[in-house]
Amino acid sequence: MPDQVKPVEVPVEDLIPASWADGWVMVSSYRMHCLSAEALRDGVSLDLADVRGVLLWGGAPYVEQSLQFRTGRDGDATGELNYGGIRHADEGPYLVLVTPWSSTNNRDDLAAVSRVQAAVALLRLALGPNVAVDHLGDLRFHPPSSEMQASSPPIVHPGWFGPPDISEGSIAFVDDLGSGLEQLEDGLRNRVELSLQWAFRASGVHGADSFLMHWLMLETLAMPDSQSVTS
Amino acid sequence: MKSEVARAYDISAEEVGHRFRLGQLYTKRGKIVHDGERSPIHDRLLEFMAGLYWDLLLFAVGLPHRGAAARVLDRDPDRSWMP
Repeated sequence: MPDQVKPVEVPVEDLIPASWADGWVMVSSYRMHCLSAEALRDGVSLDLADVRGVLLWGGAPYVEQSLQFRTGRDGDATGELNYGGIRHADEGPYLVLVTPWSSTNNRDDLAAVSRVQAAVALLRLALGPNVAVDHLGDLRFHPPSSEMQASSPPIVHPGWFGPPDISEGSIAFVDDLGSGLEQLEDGLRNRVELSLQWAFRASGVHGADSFLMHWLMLETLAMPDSQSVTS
Repeated sequence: MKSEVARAYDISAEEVGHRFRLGQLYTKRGKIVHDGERSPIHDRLLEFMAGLYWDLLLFAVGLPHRGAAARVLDRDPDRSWMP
């Protein structure tokens, strides 16, 4: 019954609990699957203490934004920010999560993201994996002023790390690494490769998550049994 | 892990304990995993752990380490970023 469901575009302010309406909040939208418009006709509200959620049918809000670094022929990297502003996703079932976001510092941003991710994990366990499938994006919203900001993970300019070292010596060193890996006995080689998987994952996360992944890199590589770290 | 680091750097286990403070890393891991600690993690600490991993990885594949972990330690001798 199309006239009984929420409108396709869901205003951000309609998703903010009244008790949080006087400060900044982070709004995080996820696409759901396999729920009908009828099933979500009245919307479903969720309360996970620091994170509130709404399951709705409509077009969830998100900020269209992308940042791409390109390197010119001179080797200099420059960033190009494409900001499309607030958008509403195509009509469908969505989970929208809201959590307080009190300041503009990076640490608070990470804490808010962490709370939302914990809530998503909990909801996937409790309600099934289709409750939060594609992450559309996050935005920060200040209901009193209607000010809206895009929310993005910390960005490091490529220039910070300098160019890859492609000297003859370094390329030969990579060959040595490959040869060294090939010569390892199976058990150690498996541990090295597993530790590299953790190294891969550790590069895109922050805070305690990053610490634990770095720990797992070390533990997988250098603690072959359940011995104490001090052994 | 201590013995692996000692072999990689060719130093004594006591020296590893003094310089690399692996016990403090292990304690930090325990506080996060078992106590739910959510204190911030200093970027330098992650850089040190990545350096230590790189040194141990090179040692594992039979190549000399490049002193990556020691370089981080030497750059910040006060080690206020250590847990």
